[in-house]
Amino acid sequence: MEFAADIKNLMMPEIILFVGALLLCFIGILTDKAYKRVFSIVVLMLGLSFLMCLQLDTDTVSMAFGGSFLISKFTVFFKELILAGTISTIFLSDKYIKQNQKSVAEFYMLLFVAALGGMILVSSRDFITMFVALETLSISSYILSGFIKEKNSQEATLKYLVTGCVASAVILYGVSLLYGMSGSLRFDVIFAAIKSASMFNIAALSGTLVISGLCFKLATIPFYNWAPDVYEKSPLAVSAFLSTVSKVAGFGIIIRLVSELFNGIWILYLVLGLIALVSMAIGNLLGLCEENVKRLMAYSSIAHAGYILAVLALGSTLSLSSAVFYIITYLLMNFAAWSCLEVLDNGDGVTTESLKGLAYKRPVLAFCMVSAFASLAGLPIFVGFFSKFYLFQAIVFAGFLLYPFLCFVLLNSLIALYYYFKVIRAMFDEQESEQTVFWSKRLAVVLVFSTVMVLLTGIFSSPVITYSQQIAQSQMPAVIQYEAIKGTYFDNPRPISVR
Amino acid sequence: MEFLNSAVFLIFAAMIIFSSVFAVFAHKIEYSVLSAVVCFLSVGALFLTLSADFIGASQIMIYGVGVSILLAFAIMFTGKDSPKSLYLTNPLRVFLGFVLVLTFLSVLIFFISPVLDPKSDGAFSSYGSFAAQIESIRQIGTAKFIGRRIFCDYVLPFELLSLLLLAGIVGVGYLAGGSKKDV
Amino acid sequence: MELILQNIWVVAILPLFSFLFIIIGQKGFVHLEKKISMYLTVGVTFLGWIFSVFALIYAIQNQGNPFQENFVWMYSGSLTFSMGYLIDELSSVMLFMVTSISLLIQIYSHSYMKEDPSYHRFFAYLSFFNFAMIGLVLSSNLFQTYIFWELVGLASYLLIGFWYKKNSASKAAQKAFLVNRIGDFGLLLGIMGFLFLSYNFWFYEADVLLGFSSLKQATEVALVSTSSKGFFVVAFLMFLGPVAKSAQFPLHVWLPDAMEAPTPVSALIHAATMVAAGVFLTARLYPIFILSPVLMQLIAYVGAITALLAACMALVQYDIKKALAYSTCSQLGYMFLALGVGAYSAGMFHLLIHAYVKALLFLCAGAVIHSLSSQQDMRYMGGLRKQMPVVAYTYLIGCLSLSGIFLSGFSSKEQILSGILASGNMFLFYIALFTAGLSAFYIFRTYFMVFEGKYKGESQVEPVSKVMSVPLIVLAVPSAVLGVLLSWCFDDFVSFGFHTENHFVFLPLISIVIALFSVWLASIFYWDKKKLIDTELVKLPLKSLHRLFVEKFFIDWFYDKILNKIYAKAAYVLSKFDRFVVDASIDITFQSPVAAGKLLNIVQHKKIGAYILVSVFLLVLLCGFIMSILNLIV
Repeated sequence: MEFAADIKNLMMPEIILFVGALLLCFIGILTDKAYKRVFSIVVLMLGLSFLMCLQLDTDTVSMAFGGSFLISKFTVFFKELILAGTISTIFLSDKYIKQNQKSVAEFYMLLFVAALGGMILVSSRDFITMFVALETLSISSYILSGFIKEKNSQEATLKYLVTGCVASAVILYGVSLLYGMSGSLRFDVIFAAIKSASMFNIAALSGTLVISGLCFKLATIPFYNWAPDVYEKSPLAVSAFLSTVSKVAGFGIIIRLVSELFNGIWILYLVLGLIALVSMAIGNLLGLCEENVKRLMAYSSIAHAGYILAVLALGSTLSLSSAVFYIITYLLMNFAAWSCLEVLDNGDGVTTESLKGLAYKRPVLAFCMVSAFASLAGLPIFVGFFSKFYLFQAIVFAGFLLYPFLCFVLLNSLIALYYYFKVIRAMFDEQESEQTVFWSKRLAVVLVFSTVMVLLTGIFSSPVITYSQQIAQSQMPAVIQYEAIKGTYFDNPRPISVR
Repeated sequence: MEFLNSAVFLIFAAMIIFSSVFAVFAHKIEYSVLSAVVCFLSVGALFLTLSADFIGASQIMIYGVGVSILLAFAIMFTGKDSPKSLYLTNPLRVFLGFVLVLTFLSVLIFFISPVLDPKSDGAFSSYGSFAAQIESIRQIGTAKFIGRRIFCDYVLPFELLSLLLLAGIVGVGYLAGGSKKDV
Repeated sequence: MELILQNIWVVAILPLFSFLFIIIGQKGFVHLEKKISMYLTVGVTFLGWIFSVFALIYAIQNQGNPFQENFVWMYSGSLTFSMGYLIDELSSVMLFMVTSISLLIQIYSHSYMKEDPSYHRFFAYLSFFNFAMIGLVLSSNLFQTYIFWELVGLASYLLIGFWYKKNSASKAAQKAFLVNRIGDFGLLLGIMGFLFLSYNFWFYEADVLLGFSSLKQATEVALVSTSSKGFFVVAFLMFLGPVAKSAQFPLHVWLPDAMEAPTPVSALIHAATMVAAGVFLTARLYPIFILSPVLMQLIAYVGAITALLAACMALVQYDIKKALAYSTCSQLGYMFLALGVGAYSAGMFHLLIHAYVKALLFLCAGAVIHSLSSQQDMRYMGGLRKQMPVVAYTYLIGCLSLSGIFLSGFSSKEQILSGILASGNMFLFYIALFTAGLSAFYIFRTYFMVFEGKYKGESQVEPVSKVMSVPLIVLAVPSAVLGVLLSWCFDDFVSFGFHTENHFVFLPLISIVIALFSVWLASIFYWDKKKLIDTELVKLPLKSLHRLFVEKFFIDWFYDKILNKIYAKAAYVLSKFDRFVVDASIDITFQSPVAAGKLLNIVQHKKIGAYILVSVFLLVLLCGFIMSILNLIV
């Protein structure tokens, strides 16, 4: 009885999504003219799930399913982000849905399943749950990205799928090493085993493998190269979903792994830092020559994931809170940018060429677009500047030794500015090009909301920063543990004997 | 007995390696698939030698039979239109692949070899003594153990898997179904 | 009085509203009547000017007792950032200068841009610039300054690239933007470093984070917490910001190109206000800089080198705006030189006077260009004094003032020279003196080429409208007399704790003699009536030197060929690599109708193999990385 009560109390958001997915599946089988009514059902379900998330008691950490499902402030926060992102995606997908009314139920159902996978992923506490949740997210993402039945699109999907399989294999490699060494798949047991036995090297290797595999979700190195193709060829709403929700879930689990499981394996912070530096360099340099804005967004998202990982590599509370803040703002900026692109996309993709003269023809849309891209570039008054500033601040306060690191990150944001400005400048070009735009109320909702948030959060960022600090602090016990252990490792740099 | 066990293990391991290499390099797709089936079956046999009956049996049933039939169907349907030759055309890439694999192998050996040393105190220490280790490992593969695990500890992922499969079916149905721009 | 001071932020905010108003109503209500944009912008600036007068009065009455108010704006980590405004001697003078010049230039622009189809956009951008610039001047702390610093750069970018259709304009805008980013990058790093060094002070003692009024104490804390080398690095990074913004060597390359902007913009942004913001910020950060003697030396030398090089380059320019642009560089170098040797008030005095003088010169040049239908080459001008006497005489006043012959410029230049002399660095003194001679030469060279002699152009000379003449006359007044009026009191008013009292008796005499000699020299080269020597004759023996000046000391060449090419090549190669991997063959055909066949077909396809190869390569790299680190430790 108690078991059931636990599940009812703690897993309500997931259960609602589960039921919603099944419902949508039935609707899909029964009728294909449900386009109008389905939308309200879907939004209602997601909203309900979001409310359930809000009412969860997060002051204490609680678990379900014998400890394989964790409810804490941190995980619930990430679930809220995922749900908010999914709702935005659903609003954003309005155009696509109008054009493909037959497959509406399937589309929504897969989004539900993906969101559910992401939510369980961030609160999983053993590797089997993590892996299954990850695959749930991945497989529904593969299918979603192939929803346009077109040659190029399906080719991109296959790239995505194959890269994803390799990434999953890499994760399994790491997990099996850990299982072999500790005899368990539970995070806490493995953590204890790592601490007690001299498993530093194996833990370092398997940690590297698991995190590298999860980097597939973030589209950072080593698994970054699917992103431009997939973002370009998928339905735009799906690209938005992949660049936001899927990344948020990836960040959530990586943060949790690093602070709970691999707590004390200091070398993983170096790995994270390396991944971050290389990813942002690759993303920004490849973005320089790109004319297609959707691909540009992919490169930009690679670089942004790099920034976040860079700050995660510091491992302090301040850095964690700045990462959380960055993730929130990244979500806002990206939805603003994607919704502008969705308005402009006429099927052939959006290039800098096709944006010419937008500022004079459609000033409001251009304003939204400018604020989104300027924010992504990190210019003041927009929220992107403050998240970047906070991020730099975290790096600076991590120590004077990291000054070169800071220089590199700043240099990267400098390079990135160039391609963001290419987009902005094109809009102010006076030779106008033909633009067909698509407006709908639902699209306008997400566009206006995210743009307003980009502006407002920029000017009044302190509540959000305070909130992200609370989130980071709730993950703090793990971080404190880490810091203490890091101290001993740095004091005595011979952690284990390796012959 | 100990020796025999090792010998059987080694034979099947060698078969896995050879058949999978052959699957990659075979220049006709039929051969490729056939050697993949051999590989699946040998993996199942390998599990059986390690006294993991349940996994071994399911490996043979799912991969050795189910997946093989699926692959055979796929080849039958694609028929003549399937790629003429499966030769790996780019020697540079093959070479690079080999280099990478070998490097990765050496990295793995670097990490794993110290702990596999029986004298090392770190190896499998969480299982207790050597005999206890063997015993606990032996239990892992049994149907009872797995069943208990799935329906007690891992019931959440098990339930989630059902949804995953449902999503997979719906997705494949959509993708394979008719479309307006017939590809 | 209190009421006005408390609401002085209105001065900064109103231009933002007028910007938004014009932009939003561009196609609608504003479009009906062209003048709405102008009246709105000018009215707002006029209001700002009135406020600035009050601020100035307040600052004069309460010296050493700045008025400031701050609002908590955001919490970030353990830090609290504020927004606020600070009215002290420095900012009130700057505010007055910015608003007054802005006002005149906006009136002038109405006539200048009348025919332009983008009239409204122009005024909108001007408003936006005003917002950013006034915000920068009024900022009470470094963080806020940084934000407005960037916004000013953005406004400059928009205005340089105002005529997008011209390829050169958009290129120049990009160049300016990128060069300025280097400076901003340094400034941000410097601010971060400084914040880190003096964190304890800001956290425990100060109420306004990075506030200018407590910069001095913070610097002391920072000095204690690091070595002098570390402190130098931080201060140097901060100084990069002013170097880029004020177009100092070696980041001066953007300013001459920025002359692609409409001439009023060149006058406002790239001569009088924004480029001077670098000097202003240096003055604001003086408490930090002064504690690093090496950096002060560096500032002085950067200033001296820029002053000399830019003056040399100005000698050989035929484009009137470029000649003036190099002159601006050179004069800004003068200010940095003054700040570097410790002549704080002299530097600020020169900033004030130069702003009026250079705005006047640019506006005159603009009037000439406007009436010659966009002819900028001085070789096709000449003898314009008869057609446009007002412009010619006001230009002459500007020239005299700039070369330091009795008018305003004389007093400021003399103060700088005596400041350098007082510091005892004779090398810098000779450079400054020589540069003073050069500036008199090049500015009168432009005067003689444009206004004296015979008209050599082809196009019809159109008369200058009254709306354009009035600002010229108004600007000529401060250019002529402001220096004389203020020379006795300015260094009491804007000072940094100490005065340079050494007035060498012969110094004024020497500098005037040098200036007059240079003017005479210019006249024999370039005044047709008096032409004694053909310029070509001199060019021959000094051929290599001439080439050096024309080629801008090969600095642009260096940036263009070496850095730019490498950068572009790297980006190109990278993109090609990506293309090669990603789009190796896009046209693969899918013949088979069955999904499974397609699947096999694609998996076998080259691209995916390459993808996996890259990924696995990176993965192995990561694993190898941790392996090598572990090996190092053991």
